Formats: sequence, C-alpha cells, structure tokens
Amino acid sequence: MTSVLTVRSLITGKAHGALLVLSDGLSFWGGLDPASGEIVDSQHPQRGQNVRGKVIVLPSPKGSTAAPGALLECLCAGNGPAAIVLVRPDVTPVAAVLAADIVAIPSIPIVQLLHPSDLASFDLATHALLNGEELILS
Amino acid sequence: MHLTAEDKSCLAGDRGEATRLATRFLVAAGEAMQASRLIDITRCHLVGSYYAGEADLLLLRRFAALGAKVRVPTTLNASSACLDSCSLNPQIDQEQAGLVVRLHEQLGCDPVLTCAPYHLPAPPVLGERIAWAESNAVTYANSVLGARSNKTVQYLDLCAALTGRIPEYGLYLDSARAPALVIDCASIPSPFWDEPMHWELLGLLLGYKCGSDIPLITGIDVEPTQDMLRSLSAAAASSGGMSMFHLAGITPEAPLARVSELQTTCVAALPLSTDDLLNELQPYAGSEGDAVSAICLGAPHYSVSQLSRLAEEVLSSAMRLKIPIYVTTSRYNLAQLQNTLQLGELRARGIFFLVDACSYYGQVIPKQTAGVMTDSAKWAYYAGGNLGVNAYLGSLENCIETARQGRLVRGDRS
Repeated sequence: MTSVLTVRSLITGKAHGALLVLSDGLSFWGGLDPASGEIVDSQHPQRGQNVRGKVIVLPSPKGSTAAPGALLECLCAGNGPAAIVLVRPDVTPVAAVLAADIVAIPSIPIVQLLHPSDLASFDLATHALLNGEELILS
Repeated sequence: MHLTAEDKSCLAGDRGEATRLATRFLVAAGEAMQASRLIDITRCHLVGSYYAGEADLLLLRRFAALGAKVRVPTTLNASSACLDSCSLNPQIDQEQAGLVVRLHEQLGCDPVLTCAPYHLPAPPVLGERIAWAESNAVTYANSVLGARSNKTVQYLDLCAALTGRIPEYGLYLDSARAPALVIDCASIPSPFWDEPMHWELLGLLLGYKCGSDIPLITGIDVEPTQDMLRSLSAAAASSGGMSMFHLAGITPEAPLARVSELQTTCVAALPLSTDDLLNELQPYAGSEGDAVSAICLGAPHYSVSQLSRLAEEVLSSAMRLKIPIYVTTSRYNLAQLQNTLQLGELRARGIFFLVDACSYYGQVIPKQTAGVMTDSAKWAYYAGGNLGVNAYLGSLENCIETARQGRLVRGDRS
C-alpha cells in the first residue's frame, strides 16, 4: 500500500531509502556513533539500529546544544541518514545540515509533518521517497 | 521572513563572504523555525569550544580563512580539556582542545572557557536579547536575570556571533515566556530550603515533571542565594530540557499579579511535598559505606562563594582527605581567590582545582576505580553515562566527610 503525504520542507531536496521510525527523540551527541551511524544511546528504544542511508523519523527534539556537531561529524563520515522527517520543529538537524553546506559536505533534506496525526501513515510503510514537499510511503 | 535592507545587503555579500554565509544560515534556520524576522543580540556564548571531531574543525577553518570576526562580545563555553599547568588530561586532549580554542580566538572570541558565563563581569540584564548556548546558563539567564535566549544550538550560535543577529522565535517572544503550569511548594517547611542540595532535587523533579514547559513555582517564602537558583537552573535543564522557570516573589518576570491570573486559567496546581523531593535522591543515594574513589564538584563551574565555602569546610578540621576532591571552576573565579584562599594548603590536603573543562568530559580526571560523589545533580545525571561510574549525590558536608573517610558517608538528612 502506498500513501502520499504533503510535508513542510525545512531543507529542500530529494531522497529515498528504507524508513526508520524512532519512537523516542534521539540525542545526536552521545546517542549516535558518527563512525558507524549506529544508535548507541543505551536508553533508546531503537538502540543498535543504524541511521546510515535511511529516511529517519524523529518524534521530538532531544539532546544538548552541541548535537549539531555530532550530526555534522556523522554526515562528514558518510554515515548520516538520507533524510530526516520531523514531527515537531527542531533547529538541531537544520543547523547541522546548514553547517555541512558551508564546508561542502553533501546536504540532506529535512521536512516536518503538517499534522502529528500523519505519523499513523508510517505504521505499515518500510520505504520512503521524498521529493520537495511530497513524501511517498510504501 | 521579513528582512531589513541591512540583512539583504549581508545576503548579497556586501559585508564579505563570511557574513554572507552566516546570514544565509540564520535566514534558513529562521524560516525552518517560522521566525518572522532577525533581531539584534548583544552578546553570544558558544558551545562549540571543545574538540568534537574533524568536521567541526573544517567549519572553523573555513570561517577563519575568510577572515571572519564576531560582531558582538562572544565568550566560549567549557573546553574538552583543562588547558593550564594543573591539567591532568593526556597531552593529545590538550592539543586538540587548544586548536579549537585558537581557531575561535582567530574569530575574535574570548576564551573564558566556562559553563557559568553569568559569573563574569557585567552579566546580562532584564530584557537583554542574547544568544547563549550552554543549557544551564540559558535557564539562569532567562529565569533569574530576565535576559532572553533560546538554547542556541551549535553553529546557529556561531553565525549569530558573526552577524550580531538571531532569528526571533521561542523565548525572544513575550508570548513564549508565560508559565504553562503551577508547581505548588506550600506544604514544604521553610527550613528545608536552607540546604543547597534540596534546590538540586527541586531542579531534577521540575525537569521530569515539566519537560520543556515553563513552570511557575509558588509557596517558597525564603530568599534563595544565587548559588541555589543556579542549582535549580542546571538540574532542571539537565533532566527536562527546561529553558525557563518563574519563582514567585523572586524571579523578575514572576510578579504576583501573574500568579492569580494564571491560577484562574490553569487546570490545577501541582503540589510537591518534601518526600517528593527527597525521592529524587534515590537513584543517586547509594548505601552508607559504599566504595567511593573521588569527589567531583563544580557542574556548573563552582562560584566564588562555593569555592570559599568548600575551603572553609575542609580547613575547619585538621583531617586529611583519603580520596581526592576535584573541583572545576573558571580561571576568572579562581583568580579572584588567588590571594584570599589558602590554595597551597588546600592542594596539599588533596583538592585539585581544575579550570576550563568539566570533570564529566573525557579524561579531565583520571579513570575512577569506584563510585564518585558530587553535590551537583547535573553532574550525577550525566556522569554515569559519560564516565561509566556510579554517581552519588549529596550535600557539600556529605561530600567532604566522604572524602575524609574514603567511603560513602551520609548524615541523618540526605
């Protein structure tokens, strides 16, 4: 089954990849290993999963103000996600991607769901295709 | 987003490439956060002052190569290593940390290397718009000083410093500074608040109960010290991501008129009891006699009054310390006490005064063989994960007595 969502674009772009829906916010600093892309926060429900090349869904902002540095490191090492889907606005990943752009590290798109209830559309999907403000889940 | 002629000029590159890049960053971040405009800020405090990896250095080098300079007074947060002659860090840590600091200095930043910038001369004042990045400092600045700052994330802070501008959203707006709930402490007897550690527990509990919502705390009829308000700020910012609180009768934006207004609109006030607060100690209580290999004080960096109190307590007895006390503070605070505090005697007793860094980062203190006791809820909250140690939380008196006995000591009351 395929569903199509309209989303708000924070960093515009195209991406596709396997979906990784996180059930809790992720603190990039201390919670993500930049050398592998693996979630290493011992308290995180998706500990051990890898964000590399995936379209990740973040339910809420979390973590220290130093988090953009950790995500930038992850992007620089080529271990970052393919795209980030936010449920609530969060400047942290936006800052990391804007910084990446300044030093010519490949950017990734970031979008926000228009309604938190859109999250239900992700329940049965395993793959996401993002093109600007259109997100196709299958 | 509405941009001024000057913003547009910066975006067009009229003020140089560094300003163009920084302004473009601010506009994109502002649009992401649905800010309607950029506003002026008076000062910045940057979080990226410690070594975080090579990608981070790329960005700093790019700005330095472009000749970028900060437009407003900009201070640096604590570093990943202690950089003075008393440092216990391995040399590689000091070299990497030193490189990050030097690159920031090239950009015009002041290397104060402290997580407590409100202790520096001329702290922010009521209504002043600032861009600070260290969470405890942001909570203190908003709540206690009445200055305005979001928890400014890394790189957004740097771009703000390079332009003197910030997207206007969150706590820069009046509407976002109103309390969302009431925390009622009226059942807690006044003498309970004499103990500084109880303010740490209040902070922990508020963070868990309120998350990032702004509480109005009522029913505390004593006047807390600055150190107590700082404890509350740091602990609440750790456990709950809190950026602001109002304390009725004390903090500048909590005038009594607002209390009655809020209580008529709120569903109910949340009452807290003495037991609720003491329960917060349980994860960090340990048992009498537990093995402890060090005491860590100073998260955030110890204030001048805390340093003086520590010295007084330790020197009140001739007993030597069986385990070391590591106290982290700023060079500025330590310099103020250089002539009054018996630093030589205190060092001989086993106190290590570490500046620039925090003892829960990397290898600022040697690897511990047993538990560590602290008087800071923030330290207890983060150190377990960062250092892989059992963290015990106690009053300063508990900490000193534990250092003298070389094992966990608790009094009758927490």
